[in-house]
Amino acid sequence: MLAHANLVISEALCYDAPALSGETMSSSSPPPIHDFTARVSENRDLGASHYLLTLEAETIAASAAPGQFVMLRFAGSLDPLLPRPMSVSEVLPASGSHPGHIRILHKVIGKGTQRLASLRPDDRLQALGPLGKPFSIPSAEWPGSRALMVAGGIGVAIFPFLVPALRRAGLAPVLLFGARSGKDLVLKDWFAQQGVEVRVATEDGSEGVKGFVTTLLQDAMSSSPGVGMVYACGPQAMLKAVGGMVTGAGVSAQLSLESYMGCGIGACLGCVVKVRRESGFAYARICVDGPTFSASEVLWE
Amino acid sequence: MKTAPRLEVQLGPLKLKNPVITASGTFGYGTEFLPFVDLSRLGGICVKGLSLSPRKGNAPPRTFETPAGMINAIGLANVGVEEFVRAKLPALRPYGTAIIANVFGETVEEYVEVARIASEGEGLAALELNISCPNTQRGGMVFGCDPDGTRRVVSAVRKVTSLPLIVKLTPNVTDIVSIARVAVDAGADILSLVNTFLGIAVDLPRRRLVLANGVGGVSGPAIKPQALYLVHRVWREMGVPVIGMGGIMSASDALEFMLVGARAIQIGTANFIDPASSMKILDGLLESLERMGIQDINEMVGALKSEGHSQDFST
Repeated sequence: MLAHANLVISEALCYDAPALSGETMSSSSPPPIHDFTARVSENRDLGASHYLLTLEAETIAASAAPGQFVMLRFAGSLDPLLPRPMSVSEVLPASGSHPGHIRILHKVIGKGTQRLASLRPDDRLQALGPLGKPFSIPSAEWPGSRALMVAGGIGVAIFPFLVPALRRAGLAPVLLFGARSGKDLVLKDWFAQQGVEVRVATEDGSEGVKGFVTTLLQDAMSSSPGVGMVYACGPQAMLKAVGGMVTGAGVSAQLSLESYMGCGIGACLGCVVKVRRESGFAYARICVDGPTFSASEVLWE
Repeated sequence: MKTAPRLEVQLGPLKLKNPVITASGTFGYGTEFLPFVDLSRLGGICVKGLSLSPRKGNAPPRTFETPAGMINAIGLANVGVEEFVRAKLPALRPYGTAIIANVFGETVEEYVEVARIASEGEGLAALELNISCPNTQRGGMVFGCDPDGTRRVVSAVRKVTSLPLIVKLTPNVTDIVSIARVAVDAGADILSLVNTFLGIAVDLPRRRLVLANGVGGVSGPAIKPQALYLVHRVWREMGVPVIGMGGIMSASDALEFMLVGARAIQIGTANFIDPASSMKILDGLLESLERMGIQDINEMVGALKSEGHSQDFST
């Protein structure tokens, strides 16, 4: 039930920005949410407790947008009890006789992810989605030409799906990737293979710059102009720091927040974050009002 | 031709098309579940607890998973009773399902005012008086833990509503029967139980409590045996209809509650895990009754065979 990372939103573009990317968005009635039994195609061990799960999930593959998540659960399980929110990492669209698939990058942290790690091809699990507010993709008029994707650890899970959408919008995606150690930099090679510029920071200095990903962000914003949008996903302390930096630099940012979740559909009111409102503040539900929030909107405790 | 088993139940003045009610605080204001649930099939919908003014609720974290359950301290975040009557209730009316307003106050006067305003709402089937919420500083459980508090708030609300009055009991008391008796004497038509059990969750690395509120309420399958016990005790002692709840995840769970005395049941935490739980439980009830050859679900209520037990439940 640890909600998986998600990101920021900028006030200017936000929710009703044209969906140039071709991803579903925009229409006034909410897109349907599907609850179904998904078949496991593959569950690849990426090392350092990370797994890349591929699910046959036709309906979600057809309707999900970057930044959205799914709730995964095991039918009949009483312990773990609650479904786990997981970012959709990648969509493999249907082609010919091959149904659409989704990929979920996950890291073993507790009971739920332990069980996800044990999945084998042809196993089944329940998936509910797509859920949550997607990332907004800047329109062509946006002044910047580059989009910075700031990932902290497993927060990188949300970004593979965003890369093609940014490209379709004419933006050059750059990944700023921070992790504890070099072995935690999972999917780094995937991004490089896609032609994404990757800059790395590790806390132990085993790879890239020694320190936090915010060092990379500071450098990227000051040294290279033309940053149109910052997307960030990672631990709360990182998101808070990113929020402060982009505000100071006058750059728009979309933060994808994570939280413990109960239901994922806005009913339990368990996954809230304090946000700025005209009347002062409100508690917004990360599952349906987010997980994508504007950096300027979040009121950090 | 075989006819489908009869599911209609009568709880004092309240008639339900079937015994499946969605529990307050787990089903929003109903419409959140439209993608998953045919609201018109439900026996009843208990909406999120309503207060006189809108409430933001507690700071996060508000929920955490526990073994076979969860702990929450939402803090009764809600739109307020006036907004409910104005906007939420009309949206539910067309479904022809019994709409039950769960109401809450910090003082007796507030309870009365919320109950009065809710009762004026057109199409409301019943009030459920929440004297058992563990997650607020004042009101709620303060009333439900104390016989005198229970008497004062129930009798005061009874005077301002002609709707069927359900009183929702907390399990966090030494003797639930004594509170139940006071509630009935003061005018409750129906008792619903149990609300959540008080609990805490510990963040070991940080040496802190997980929930911002510290204390929360535990729900889910982990509390089912305790809930069954309390429902059975109250049903045996009291002469009023009982609505049972606590960790019901399946039709079998629901039937267990009915066997020990519940005439209707509420689905709570299960709505979070599978949003279509209420529909699956309703379908499961029909299938179970057909398989057992039972024509009327009322035959299950309190139909526990008690011979052979060495323990007297009355103590």
